[in-house]
Amino acid sequence: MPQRSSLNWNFPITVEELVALGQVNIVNKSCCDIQASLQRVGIADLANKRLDALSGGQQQRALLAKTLVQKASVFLLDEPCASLDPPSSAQFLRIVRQLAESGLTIVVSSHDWGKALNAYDKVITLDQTVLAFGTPDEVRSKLETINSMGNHCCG
Amino acid sequence: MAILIGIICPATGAVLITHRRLLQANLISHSVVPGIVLALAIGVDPSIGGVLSGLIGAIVAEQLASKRNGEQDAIINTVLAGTLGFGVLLLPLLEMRVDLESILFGDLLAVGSADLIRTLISGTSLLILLKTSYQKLVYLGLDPEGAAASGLNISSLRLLLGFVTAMVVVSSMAAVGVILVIGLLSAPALFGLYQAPSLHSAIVRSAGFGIIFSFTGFLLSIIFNLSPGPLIGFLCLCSLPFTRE
Repeated sequence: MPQRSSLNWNFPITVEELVALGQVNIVNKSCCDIQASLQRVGIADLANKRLDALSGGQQQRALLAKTLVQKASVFLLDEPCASLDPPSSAQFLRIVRQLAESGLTIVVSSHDWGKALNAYDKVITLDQTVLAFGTPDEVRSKLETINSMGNHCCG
Repeated sequence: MAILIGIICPATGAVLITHRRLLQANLISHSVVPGIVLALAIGVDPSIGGVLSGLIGAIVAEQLASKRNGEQDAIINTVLAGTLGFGVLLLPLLEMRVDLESILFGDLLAVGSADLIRTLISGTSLLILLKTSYQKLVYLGLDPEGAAASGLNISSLRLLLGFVTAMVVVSSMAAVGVILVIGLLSAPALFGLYQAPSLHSAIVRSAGFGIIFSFTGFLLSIIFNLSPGPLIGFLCLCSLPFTRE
């Protein structure tokens, strides 16, 4: 799933067309897959809306639906909550959580240090090297230790 | 002929605007000139030379601009001026007597069956591009990085779009001229893009508005006995206050 900044948001495209782009390399394309993907992220009713007419949170869910239609087992989401307001961000992470619990492996790159960490099973903190790895609580504790030693690695 | 140009140019323009490639199209419209002059000098159909030199200009500009981050516009405009200048210089160097004004600004009186055939060929090439690569064009316009990451050959697709643009430009040569064609590529498409839900819809709407622009321009040119190219260019300018974001 791409970062928001890499997209041309003025491009005229419907949500359904956007999700169909996820199938660009798939031989047996199916509109049922597109509908299913939209339903999984809860925006099936917005299929015919223009992408730039949606809210930021809905746009991110549309991009997630495009990613999911690829039928991979591992997904990489690049800063999916960047520039989202807190409620939209929380809602997006709830959907990501549901997808993970349905058996998908989802890798998320993020700069969010707050409560958002709780949405993930495992967290890796990187700053040139691996600073911490483990559950959200373990990583938070490790980072607090590093910061208390004077290494303000994490803002 | 006028109606055909009115359909093809704005339809191509809608794709170019959404892909942010209108400056490249303007470059192509200038760099077709040396190819047209050379083709006339050696007795080849000018559209062949025009398309070739238009594409060469676009490729040279793309190569130079890719190495100069943030200075692409300056590079493209320099190549644009340089290729047009080269084309104009070729006339005395080759001792040719060509009506440069009619190439640059059109000459409706000079329109013949060859121009109609060129227009039909360029229209067909646009249709083939849209039919075979519509989804790829949508992907490229929305998310070039994502399109490349998903395995699309975006350089080939852009070259193909450049080829169709060059075809459209040379086929409009007689009607509105290679320089003024940029107005017909832009203004009707601005109307067509307004609230268009998809690229397909934007293309169809732009073509519809293009018919109105083209028909009005050619009608006024007949009524007032004025050259249609400059008239359509001016009409495009007058329409700008009526376009909406």
